[in-house]
Amino acid sequence: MNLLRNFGRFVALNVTLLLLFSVGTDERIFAVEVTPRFDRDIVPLLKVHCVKCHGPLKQDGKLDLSTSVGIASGGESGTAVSANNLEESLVWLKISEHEMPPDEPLTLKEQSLIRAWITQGADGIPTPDNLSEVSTEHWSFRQLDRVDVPPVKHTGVCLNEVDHFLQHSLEKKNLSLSEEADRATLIRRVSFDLTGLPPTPREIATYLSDTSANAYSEMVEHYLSSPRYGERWGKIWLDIAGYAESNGYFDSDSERPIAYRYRDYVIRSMNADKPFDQFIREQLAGDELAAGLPKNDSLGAMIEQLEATHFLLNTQDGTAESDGNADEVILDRRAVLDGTIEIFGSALFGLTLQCAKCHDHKFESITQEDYYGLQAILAPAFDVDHWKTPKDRVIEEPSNGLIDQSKPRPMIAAVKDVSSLAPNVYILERGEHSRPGTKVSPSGLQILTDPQQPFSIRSPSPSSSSTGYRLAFAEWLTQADSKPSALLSRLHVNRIWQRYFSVGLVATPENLGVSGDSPSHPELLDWLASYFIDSGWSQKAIHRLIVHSAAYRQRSTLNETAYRIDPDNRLLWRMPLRRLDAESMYDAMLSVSGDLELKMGGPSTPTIYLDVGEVMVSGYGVDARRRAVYIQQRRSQTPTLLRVFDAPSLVTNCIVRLPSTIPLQSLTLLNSDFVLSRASNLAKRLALEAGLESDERIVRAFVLTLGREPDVEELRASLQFIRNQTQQYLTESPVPQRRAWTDFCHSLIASNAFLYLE
Amino acid sequence: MFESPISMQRRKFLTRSTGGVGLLALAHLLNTESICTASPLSPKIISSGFGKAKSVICLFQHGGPSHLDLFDPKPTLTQWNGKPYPHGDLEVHFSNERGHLLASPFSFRPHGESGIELSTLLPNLASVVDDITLVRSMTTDSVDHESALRNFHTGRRQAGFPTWGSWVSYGLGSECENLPAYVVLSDPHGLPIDGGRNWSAGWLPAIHQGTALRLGDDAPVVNLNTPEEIPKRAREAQLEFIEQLNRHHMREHSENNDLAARLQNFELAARMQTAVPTALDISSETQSTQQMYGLDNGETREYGTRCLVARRLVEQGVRFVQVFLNGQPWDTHKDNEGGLKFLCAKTDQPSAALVRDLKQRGLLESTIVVWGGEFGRLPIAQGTDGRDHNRRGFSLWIAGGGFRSGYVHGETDEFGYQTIRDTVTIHDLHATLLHALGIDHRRLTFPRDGRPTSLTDPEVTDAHVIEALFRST
Repeated sequence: MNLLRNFGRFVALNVTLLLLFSVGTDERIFAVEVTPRFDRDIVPLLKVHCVKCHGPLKQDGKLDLSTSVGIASGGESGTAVSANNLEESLVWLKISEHEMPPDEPLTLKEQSLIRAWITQGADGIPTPDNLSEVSTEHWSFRQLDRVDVPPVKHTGVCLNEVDHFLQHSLEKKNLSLSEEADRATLIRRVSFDLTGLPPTPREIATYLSDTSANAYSEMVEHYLSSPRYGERWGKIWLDIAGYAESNGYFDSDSERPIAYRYRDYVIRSMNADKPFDQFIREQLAGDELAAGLPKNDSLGAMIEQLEATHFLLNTQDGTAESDGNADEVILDRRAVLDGTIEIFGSALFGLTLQCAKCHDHKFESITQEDYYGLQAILAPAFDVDHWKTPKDRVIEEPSNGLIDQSKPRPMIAAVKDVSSLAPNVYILERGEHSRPGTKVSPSGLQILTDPQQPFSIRSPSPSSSSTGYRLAFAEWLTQADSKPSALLSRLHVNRIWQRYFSVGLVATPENLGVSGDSPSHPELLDWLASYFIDSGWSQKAIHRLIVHSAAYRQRSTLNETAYRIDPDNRLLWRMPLRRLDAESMYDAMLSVSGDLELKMGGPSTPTIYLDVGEVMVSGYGVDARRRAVYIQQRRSQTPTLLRVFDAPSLVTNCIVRLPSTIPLQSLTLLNSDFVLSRASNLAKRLALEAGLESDERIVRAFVLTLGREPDVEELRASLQFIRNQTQQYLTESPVPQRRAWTDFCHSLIASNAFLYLE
Repeated sequence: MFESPISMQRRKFLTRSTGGVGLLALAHLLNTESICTASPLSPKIISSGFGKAKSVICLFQHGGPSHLDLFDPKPTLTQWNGKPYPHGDLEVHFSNERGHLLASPFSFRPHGESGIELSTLLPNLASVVDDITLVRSMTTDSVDHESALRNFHTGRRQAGFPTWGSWVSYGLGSECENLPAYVVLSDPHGLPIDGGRNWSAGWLPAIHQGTALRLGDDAPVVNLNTPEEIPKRAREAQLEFIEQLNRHHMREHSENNDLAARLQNFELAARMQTAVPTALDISSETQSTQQMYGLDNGETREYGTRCLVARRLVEQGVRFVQVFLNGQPWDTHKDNEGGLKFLCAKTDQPSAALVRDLKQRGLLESTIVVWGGEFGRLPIAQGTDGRDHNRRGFSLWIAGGGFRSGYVHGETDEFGYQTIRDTVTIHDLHATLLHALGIDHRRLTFPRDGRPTSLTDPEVTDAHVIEALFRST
């Protein structure tokens, strides 16, 4: 992902920088300057060129190049890689003689990397003596073992265990965590990270003046307990879960008017810090969990669990609009199942399950049987022969019998089994429904299933007619001390980590499989995953831990020495500079202009498509000024402002957004009605809150927008700008001063200091 | 005032930049290898060693134009008019309205030196027929509009994949400093079916998304123009102030490319404000050019304007121009005859004018023009006078870009239902068009979910370059 990110940057930044690199580049005399690392440099090469035939599914020549152990073990022809010895490394001999890969040779640069890696000791490959101690399992599929916190030389820079792991790696390169950022930077960072909103001037003043030892902790707790926390982190989960309020698939993109109940369920669960394992179980099998509850005592819980099952409806679904022949209708239904499995893949496993639809996965140990085994879990609720369209899923909310006849009954879009007789599910050859093969049973992934912890199906309750398949899956996935729950925990802590540090400990948070990246700090990842489970799957515990680390609290400024050694900051010698995501930017603009309406929950604010080609929030009054999470998430109609700043228009789901830097963003910041209105309202707010003195207004504007006071230079430049701009407007406007202040406010919210978190 | 030495240096590095130089250009500049520094999964050498075309104009015909009434004469169908279809293998979309065989009401005759037969609906195309390649053996994967549209534009039935314009932008980038690489000219009367998804970049970087320009609008790009109430000098002063703030902010992040790019983008945005309207301003075109495109005629004016603007954009270095009609007008389930007359009156003259104009200006060698829709239509009637969808055989034409001119490729059966020779799938078409642009479709990849993805996904689709479509063979 890091590579990807840089790559995206290249594209956005264009050729000029690259030209600098290209001067004097000649492929024939290409020299490898750095010591190649196995995980960073070699694994990706092998994945692309070798693993298809020498990997988990096929081991041509009994050789598996997908793991370090496989490489160390060699194949039937002999030693694959011998450290420091090219002549005895068959991998090198085959590659350099262009015998492998068979289709086309590696580039000279790739060959140079392999060569340098072997001649410099083949980093990352166990020696034959310690081979037996090394697990052959892919790192993310293993059970969690106890990890010891590593020692560091400079304990003084560490605030908690997280720092020990990071500092330990940094010290190997003679680097260290940076010093702590100043308080104004910290509160802005924490406020945006935990709530997606800027700190208010009052919050800033309280924190800056708090001299007690636990000032930071209190500030953190203030934001963690804010309902805004659930809105911020709820939206992150909603993206992961693929939540949208329309059916997609066909042009009509018909609406899902009560889907918002799932959104509210997610936000409530986040705010309540519902244990993450329970949160997952409810979304997979809430209906079956609810079936086991005594109705009268637990009506609230029952309703909530039904709302949760909307997770299974998140994928695109055109089945209500299918108008074609019988074959097409079936295809459209199957597309729903395939979409849900794809979401399962990235959201619950970090695996590209969809690749196993037509054939066994080429890179991962996932078979077609696994794929259709998962579909068999869904089949009783999503039976292609007894289909329910999204509309058919709408049910009346359960009640305790006291019904107010004068009001419409509240409705929930929920998933239930269509019948207790599960339909037969077959492997489909080449993924084609007309070619059913072997029958499969509902099951979890074989690679993750321990014989001691099998996938076991039971009836949810004596009176329930549900098959219990989804409940079995939910329990299999989250069972204590199991491989699936270890993977789930790694997956989720890595996603949380990625939000804080731009790049995950695994740089591909959507893919923790063999084809994904290797972790930069594997021990830390496992330690965090254990910590998460030991804390009762408390997400707030993970947030608290990360936010209290010295790694998180360090400065984001450049350290030239460290930059030379680790330009991508994979070792985290500083806090990365991060651009606000689309929703945070949108919410922050509403917040600083004083327009933000904090009403929670309920139906979404609709959007409209204007003739000018822009999608805008529609309507007036308070609803038009709510947080972005409450704007209708219509797949075909993402508001332009959010879209331009990389909000996805959801097709399946979205695990990571790549922040882009494009000219349309500048045009939007300069000319859109939304931004101009915020600027104008902020100017009015300043006049109300900061009196007549220009200095005071400028200071107030900086505190509101950037969370800090201007320095001397900024103050001077601001004063000068306002003075000059007032002159500019003298002949143009009856209110030149107001216009000048509006332009000043506009400049602040269009500036990088507003858009980025230090 | 805020200038620190390091940011000054950076500024020198970044004095000029374009909307996005593509990989092929980069790879070329970098001796084809250095892209590896970005990621081993990203393309290394994507050049196919063939193809000199630099840009594409796609005249997309939403709804599925009837090849049987435009491009593919079938005397047998005429003979069998009104009789039941004699074979049992017809795939229909609306099975309850299935009728008997329906002859084309339009006659066909040969044109040009090549003698290619076209229907009387296309007199203008007939006049440039020796400059086009007519493919009569297209197939696609779905008879459902949306799936077929996605297949045409992204190579997948499913939604969410990058469109081929985005792939071309990603592969070749822009030659133009002040215009987007991928431009969409949609109908002023409304969006085509599936709207912006027809030019989505999917998960490619957002810069490769098609930019829809609205012709005849004061603001052809959303938020392009400075609001009227802000005078020019005030805006310039504001831009300077923003730059001051941003340079000050950059002092402690002098190495950060995103911040530098953002600084640049404010300048680029300002340049776009003049470059876009200039590119769209057709008043400088001669009267005869305007007439050739039918701008003097109410029926052809709008489509003609889009075709003419497409040529202007290509002249400016835009890589990919998509021209759309609103809705899906070629979807002639009823009154096939009337619908086709109306649409051809609108589009035939401008489409042919585009080919002629490009040729006259020496741009046809470097520009590929593609005319076609997501599928074709059935030889039987739907109801009494309509035609239903057909994915097993249809036609489209290509001009320029090194394609073999005056040539007919492939053939459908005697009723025009399915291809019987030289089938070209949508995936083959993609591979072939990329080939003409000098891109090897197997190597134009982008890493996603830890694996390389491509437009054609040849392992699944078996996409091949159709060599016979090129002049040299």
